[in-house]
Amino acid sequence: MIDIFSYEFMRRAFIAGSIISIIAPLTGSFLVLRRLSQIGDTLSHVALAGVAAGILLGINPTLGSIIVVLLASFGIERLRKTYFRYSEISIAIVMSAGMAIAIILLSLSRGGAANIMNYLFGSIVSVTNTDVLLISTLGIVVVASIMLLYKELLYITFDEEAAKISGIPVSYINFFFTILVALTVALAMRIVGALLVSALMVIPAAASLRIAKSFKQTVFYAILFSFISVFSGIFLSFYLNLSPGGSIVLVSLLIMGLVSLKKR
Amino acid sequence: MKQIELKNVNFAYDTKQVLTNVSLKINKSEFVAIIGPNGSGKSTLINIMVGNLTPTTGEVLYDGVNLEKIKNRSFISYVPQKSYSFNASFPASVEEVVSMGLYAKKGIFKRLSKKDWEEVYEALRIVDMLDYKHSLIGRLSGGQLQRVFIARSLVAKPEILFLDEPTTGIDAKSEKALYAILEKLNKEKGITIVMVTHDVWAITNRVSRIICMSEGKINEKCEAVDLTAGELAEVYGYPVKIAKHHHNGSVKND
Repeated sequence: MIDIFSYEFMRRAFIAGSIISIIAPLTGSFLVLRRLSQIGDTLSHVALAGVAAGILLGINPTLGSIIVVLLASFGIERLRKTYFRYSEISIAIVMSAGMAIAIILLSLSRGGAANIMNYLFGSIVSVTNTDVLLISTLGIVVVASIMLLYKELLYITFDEEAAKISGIPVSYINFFFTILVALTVALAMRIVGALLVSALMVIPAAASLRIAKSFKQTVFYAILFSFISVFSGIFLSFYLNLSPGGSIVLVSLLIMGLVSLKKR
Repeated sequence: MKQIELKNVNFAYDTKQVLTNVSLKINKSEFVAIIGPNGSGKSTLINIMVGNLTPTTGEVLYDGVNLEKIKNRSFISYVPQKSYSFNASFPASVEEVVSMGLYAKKGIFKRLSKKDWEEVYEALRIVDMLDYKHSLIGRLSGGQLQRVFIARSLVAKPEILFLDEPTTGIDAKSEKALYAILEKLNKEKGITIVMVTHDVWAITNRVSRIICMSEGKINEKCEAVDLTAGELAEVYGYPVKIAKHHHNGSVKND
């Protein structure tokens, strides 16, 4: 067997992968319990527009997607207020806007189409040093923010109204949390691909719900399952020459299946 | 904070007048029940007292200070009516739910200390739910759940506890246990309790005063614990029969 860690690009993939495997289920657990699972999907489609813009303008596509996703998350908040009775409208609008812009930008840039495949389906070979630096720095920001706001986020997720009455600044925290989700999506897309980002945010949390006896355990198991999925997924994709995103998500589904067999 | 005073409070949703000229005083350590038929303005009244709703005209005063001017309201705690119908599949343990009562007081970015957790367990002990601290809330009965929500309110050490129909959806035995806990909080800890309820019969010998609401007004005639059938009929708008409870001698409908 070839030593997987002797390759520079594999080391980069594992560093990036391990950070993503923590932040995706961390934000994902709150999203799932707030019934906002689709937001991850929406933002990942929008992130493609950022990637396309990055390719066209010659800047780092991950950086491009971070900027565009942040803008989009403000857009979603804004639209959600405008159409507050039909909040899913905002998700649909932002998602299609993102895709439309991505396609237009791609058709403008020659040769960009091949490059964007890495972002659609994820890639481990093409993770650059800049990507690793961005993922590590912003990943730490996401983890630290959620640890600092853990109790407030838990209360808002459990009972938004009671949290508000008790004096917790709910709208500020919601807004900040949307930013954290946007960052997570933009970073995770590099490895698992835009089409499967929300899977890594949702599936480990869904599996965790079957066995957790507290919220803390829910988050802990979600991260554990996601970590196992990402590591085995990257191994599988390396040795069997499969797509990393697809392998990671299939492993996470397998874990979910196994966990479902266990009685609570 | 000792005394609650409402001065000529009026409240309207759009054009519908819900409360008309409500004035009342509640003193420290009183145990007050607010009764009245559906739509009489009971829940609106309690929501105005806790500050969730602002009166259209009139004032809500705590020790003479307008509630709108009071920033730190941790002396008030409110157990809303809907707390029994929340998302029961949420993966939170009993101790986590109770600890939420401390979050706002603790302040943003700060973690709960060992002493805070002691307070959480103390609140659970008061409502007799300490054995369930590691249970998932989804596994509890309605009555147990209501006690957990009361513990969540108690943990912040309020001076006044407001409850909106705390016994809705729970069985008779749990209901009795719940009232016993409230009575204990009131007598031993001196916590003022203001409760909206439909079970006139179960509370008459526990509370210190009953406030009757009808059509958005306070019915002055029934501000006493020993209501007669005639007075109740006037409040509810239909004839009411009063009978002695078989077991504890309290008054209940039959």
